[in-house]
Amino acid sequence: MILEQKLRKKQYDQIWRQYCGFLDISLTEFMEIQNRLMLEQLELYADCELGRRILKEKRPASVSEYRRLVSLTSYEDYADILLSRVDSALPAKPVLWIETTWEGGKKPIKVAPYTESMLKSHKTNTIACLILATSNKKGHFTLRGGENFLYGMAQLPYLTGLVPHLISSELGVNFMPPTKEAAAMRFSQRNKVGFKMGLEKGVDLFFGMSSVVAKISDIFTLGGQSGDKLSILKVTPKMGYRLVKAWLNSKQGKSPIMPRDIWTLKGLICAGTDTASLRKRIEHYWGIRPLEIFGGTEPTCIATETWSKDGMVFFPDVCFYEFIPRSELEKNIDDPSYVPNTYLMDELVAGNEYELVISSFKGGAFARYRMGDIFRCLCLKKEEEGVNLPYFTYVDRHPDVIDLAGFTRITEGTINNALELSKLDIADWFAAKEFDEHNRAFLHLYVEVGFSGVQSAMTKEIIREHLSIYLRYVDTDYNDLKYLLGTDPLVISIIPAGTIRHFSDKSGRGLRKMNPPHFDVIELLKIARGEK
Amino acid sequence: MPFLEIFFWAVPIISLTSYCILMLFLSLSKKDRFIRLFMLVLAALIIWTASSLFMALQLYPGVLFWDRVMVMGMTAVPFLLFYFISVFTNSLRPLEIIFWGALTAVAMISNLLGHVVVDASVVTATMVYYGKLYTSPEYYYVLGKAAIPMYIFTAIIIFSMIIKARNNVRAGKITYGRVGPIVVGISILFIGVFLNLFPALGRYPVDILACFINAVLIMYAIYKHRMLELRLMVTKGIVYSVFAVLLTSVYIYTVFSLEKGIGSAYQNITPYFITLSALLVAIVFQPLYRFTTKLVDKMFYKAEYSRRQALKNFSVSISNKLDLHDMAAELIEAVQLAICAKEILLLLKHEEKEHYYVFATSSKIFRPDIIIKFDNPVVRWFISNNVSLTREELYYHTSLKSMWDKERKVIADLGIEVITPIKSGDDLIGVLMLTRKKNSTAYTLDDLDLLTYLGASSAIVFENARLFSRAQSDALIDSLTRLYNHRYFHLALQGQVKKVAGAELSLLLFDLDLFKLYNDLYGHWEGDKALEKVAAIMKRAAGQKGVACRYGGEEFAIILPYFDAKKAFDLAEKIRLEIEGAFLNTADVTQRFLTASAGVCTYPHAAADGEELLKRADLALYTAKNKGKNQTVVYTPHFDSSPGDINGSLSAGSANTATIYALTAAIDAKDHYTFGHSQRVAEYATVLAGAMGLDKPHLEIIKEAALLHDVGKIGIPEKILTKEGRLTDEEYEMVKKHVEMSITIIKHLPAMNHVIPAVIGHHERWDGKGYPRGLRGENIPLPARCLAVADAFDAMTSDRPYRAGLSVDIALKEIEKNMGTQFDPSVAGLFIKLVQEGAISVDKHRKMKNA
Repeated sequence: MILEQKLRKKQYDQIWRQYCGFLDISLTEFMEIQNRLMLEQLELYADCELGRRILKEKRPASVSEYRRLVSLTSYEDYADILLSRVDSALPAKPVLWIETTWEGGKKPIKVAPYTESMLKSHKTNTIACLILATSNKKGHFTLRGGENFLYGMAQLPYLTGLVPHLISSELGVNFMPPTKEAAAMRFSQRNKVGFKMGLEKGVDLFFGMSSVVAKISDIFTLGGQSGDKLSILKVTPKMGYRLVKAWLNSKQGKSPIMPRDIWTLKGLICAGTDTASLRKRIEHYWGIRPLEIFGGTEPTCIATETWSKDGMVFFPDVCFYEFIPRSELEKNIDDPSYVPNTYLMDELVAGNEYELVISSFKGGAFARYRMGDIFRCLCLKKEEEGVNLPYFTYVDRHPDVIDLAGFTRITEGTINNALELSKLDIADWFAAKEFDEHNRAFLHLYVEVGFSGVQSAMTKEIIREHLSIYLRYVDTDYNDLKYLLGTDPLVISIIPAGTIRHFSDKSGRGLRKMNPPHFDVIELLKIARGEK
Repeated sequence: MPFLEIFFWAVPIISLTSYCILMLFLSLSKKDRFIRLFMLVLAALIIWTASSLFMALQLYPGVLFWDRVMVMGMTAVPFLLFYFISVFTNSLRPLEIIFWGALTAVAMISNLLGHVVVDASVVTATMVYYGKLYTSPEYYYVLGKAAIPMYIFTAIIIFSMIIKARNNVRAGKITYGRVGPIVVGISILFIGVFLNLFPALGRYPVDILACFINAVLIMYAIYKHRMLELRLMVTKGIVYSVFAVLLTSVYIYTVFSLEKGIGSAYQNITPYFITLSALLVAIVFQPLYRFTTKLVDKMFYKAEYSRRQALKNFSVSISNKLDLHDMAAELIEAVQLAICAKEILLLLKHEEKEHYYVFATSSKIFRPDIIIKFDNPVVRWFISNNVSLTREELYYHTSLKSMWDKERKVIADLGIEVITPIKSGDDLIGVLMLTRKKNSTAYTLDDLDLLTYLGASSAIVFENARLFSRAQSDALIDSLTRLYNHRYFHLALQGQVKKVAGAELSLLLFDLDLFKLYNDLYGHWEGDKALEKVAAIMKRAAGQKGVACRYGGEEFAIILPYFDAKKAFDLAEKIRLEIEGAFLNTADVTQRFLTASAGVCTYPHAAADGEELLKRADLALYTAKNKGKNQTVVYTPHFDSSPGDINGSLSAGSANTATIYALTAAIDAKDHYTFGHSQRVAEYATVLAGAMGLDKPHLEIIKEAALLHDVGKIGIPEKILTKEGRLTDEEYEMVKKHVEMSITIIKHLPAMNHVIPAVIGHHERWDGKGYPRGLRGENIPLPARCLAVADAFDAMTSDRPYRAGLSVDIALKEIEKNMGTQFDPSVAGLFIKLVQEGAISVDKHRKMKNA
């Protein structure tokens, strides 16, 4: 029986157990599932080329042996097999390849194979997210089928494009715009059309990147509506009433119309690195607390918040999770040859930050793969919610990567590339991710101008203009960022020549190019200001 | 014509009765959405047939009125049925219903306004038949302008309904069995309606006849395919009574109609006919009544009826059964009767292999080779939960999320729909696996409850049966080797000889060579392990082709039906070599060594019956032993004339002696200083052992052991053996290895294996500080203890590269000093005494040395 039939039969308890039952298990049971599925994956690995390479031609008999034997991996370790899509070298036959950008221009895309079994669990977990998004109490949810679903995520071959296809097989919801039409549209056009349809028919569910949701809400609130004119004939009576009511209230109170004045959402799902900083604004606009979820091309959807929308819990059956503590991560950044220790879900300490390492289950490709995402473990369980699993919040990407709006990944390589192309005489630089007064993230590039630059006209505006153009050139995501959010999140600060070297001499260690520690930046700026 | 009259009256009456009965059933049943909707359909059908009857009866307010009411029913039926099918197949589209509903309403209003039937009447027609005058009622009606559109509309809606039903059947949303009869029935019904359009037929209630056929088909769908799950809310007694009344009415009416019809034609036979028809009713009524009550049972209590039967049969039959196979068959039969699954598998626990395996199935051809391991999450789930699992549930219980894809695939590939635990306390004894039901309906909660109940109630009995079966097999199975035992061997041998009916059957008899020595050397615990190892080899080699048994102590037998002597010999050799390989090819010489001898005899070529076969195989084995062991001998008739092959034995004996002397000469040639040492030790030790009262065979063993005790020195570098001055620690370690090397050499001479305990132990010390095994006290075999004293004495009294030989007195004192530490005090004491008494002559050997 599919979900829709169960909903029709009002089997709500059963549905909750089926999809959200993982929130009832103990940490011991969670680890048992993890271990057993990892052993299955080891069997699959042992019989394929990729697996044999990763396992160094050995057959680990236990998960701990596997962790001892296999080194931490990155996409480079898989690139030759995955990018050429060699099915026969994989642990199980993929039914789909999902794409994402890798590192801008240098390494354009990375792909990940999805097996049938992975898709099944991804479907179940996506539906769990949908149910939890419409829930504010354990066991209670308002998802009923037939909802209008404003879907503001990327289409296939990106991971988020799978969601409409997976959900449709279980539940009839009206995607706005409809999946087939959406496939032919650009990202911004899709959002516009979706909003317009939402104004005509109403919106019950909304899924979007936090940065995009916040931006669209800004435009909506400030501009009165999404831009395109409504066709009055297509507006349902209910929506007509709500629009008129919102307009009258707005005129009366002399306040702008907000999305919450027009729509009463059942659920709002957000994803992306900036969710934590934007969720309050989104909640203010939409009148509903967003449910944050976390996923990626390599692992699929792996974590969701619960009904309290306050911290994410990992799904037990998607990947095997290991965590590198922040202290180990720092050691590894300073000395790339250092092999950081990893810890398991039942070994974590609340309040600490960890980089996530995953190993795919169900025939996926990745083993001890460093995701480059940092989480903070909020607590080890929430007794008041009856959940005995650790809760996490997303912190940011690995310091080597500056992620803006959830869909750009700026690395040292990207910036060097842009600098080279720009032919600007930049002697030295470092970059940091910072936030403006509206909690919007931006890329702050601190530069030391070289000898010729000192002599010529090199203002920070000129540097910004140049770099902005070349960053857009080398990184298509950066280009999209500007196109979608309408802002150029690049800020340049010129610091006196020799400051970085001076800092290194003084502190006795080099300065990280990307996201140096906060206090290092303060010390460096003191030097730049000539403070003693 | 009486027939027409009966048709005119009886058809509407029977149809109406059928629908009323159905309506009665439904109204007495627990109602769900489907039943409520179907009751609406039935109501429309009742209006249709009742008004037709009232029309025939020309009841008030008149034929035209009832005709219009009939048309109302006729118009309502297609729409309601369309609605029912939509809901039933889960394909309800509100717009569709609104559309057809509106059209139906328009048709009804037109009918009420008189646009469909303008006029209607019943006339009595008269006709002459075989010279007699008959009367029969006939309809006459005039249709209005709206009639044709109404008929077209009806045709379209019926057609759409058929298409809808067909699409849903094709989409797998419902089985044909459940909607097919309804669709066919309604089609027939409306063919009847359309036939009414032709005045020649329209005079008769053809549509009502079709109505009756439809009623029968609906009953069939409910009865056979469980179209609706009916469960009565009243007692069966009431239902039976209502039925009895209804049937009686029908029969009385039938009798009277017949009497009226035929009686009027043949008045002179009327009294006989009445009696006859009453009798007929009596005869027909009883079985029909019984049929009806059974029908009620099946319609309303079908599931429960079967279940009750299944439970009743099962609880009776299992109470007096202990055989596991019988029990399994009973359980499967009970489940089959109650649930009607296509296939049922019973998996039972295999403690040793830690899995559940297919023990029995419902069909002979469907016996998949699957297992469920103990660590399968399903097993663990059943241990903490005591309910059946459906296929769907395998995907949504969180604790089952750790199932491997291949574990799910096994279940999916077999089409398993339900898994039921057979649990006794927390012990999961087995599981029942059921594929889909024969009628393709889904498993209900009641089904699952019943299965769980059957599983739980049979668990204890199954456990008992399992224990009984274990006990039974234990009586025939050797507890150590898990091979069949001596008792079973005799039963099997006789049975198999009979079974092959004159075809070949070979018997292999194996005996482990010098197993007693093995036990002495390594202890009985190691001996048992060796037996287990050998048994495993036998079992593997015999496989499904033969019966491997432990005949006795270290003797094994394999019965090989349809094996000729050649094949049997090859198999025996394979086993013998495997045993040799398993025990001989170990790097550590102090580890086990064991060989086996085999005798083969084949029936009927070399034996007339089982008894003779055994005797002759035994004779062949005896010959193999005498020929020097570790070999296979096939029985040939000449054995009988020379039992035991004495010559062979003798020749083997002389061959051994020659081997021993050759080896001794080899050592002597290598180590000149020890020249004659082995012979002297042999002499001393034999005298010593003789004085200790050992028998002749033991004396022989000690002599041979003494001769060979230093044979391992062949492998020690000559420079060490002949080194002048003290040996370094490393060199000493090397020299110590000669014991192990001796064993390495001797174990390749199966005929000499018996000397190994003495040889391997001749450097052991009474206090346990010796080598190579550090044995202590009487754990050191007696021959080895004798050898130790004799060896030490000769070593001390012989000249060595680094010192001259000690005198006999000093040597004896040295031995005396080490009594209780190095030497067995009683053996050493006796040795000293023998030397002092001259029983052991030392000078003779000195002379030999000097010469």
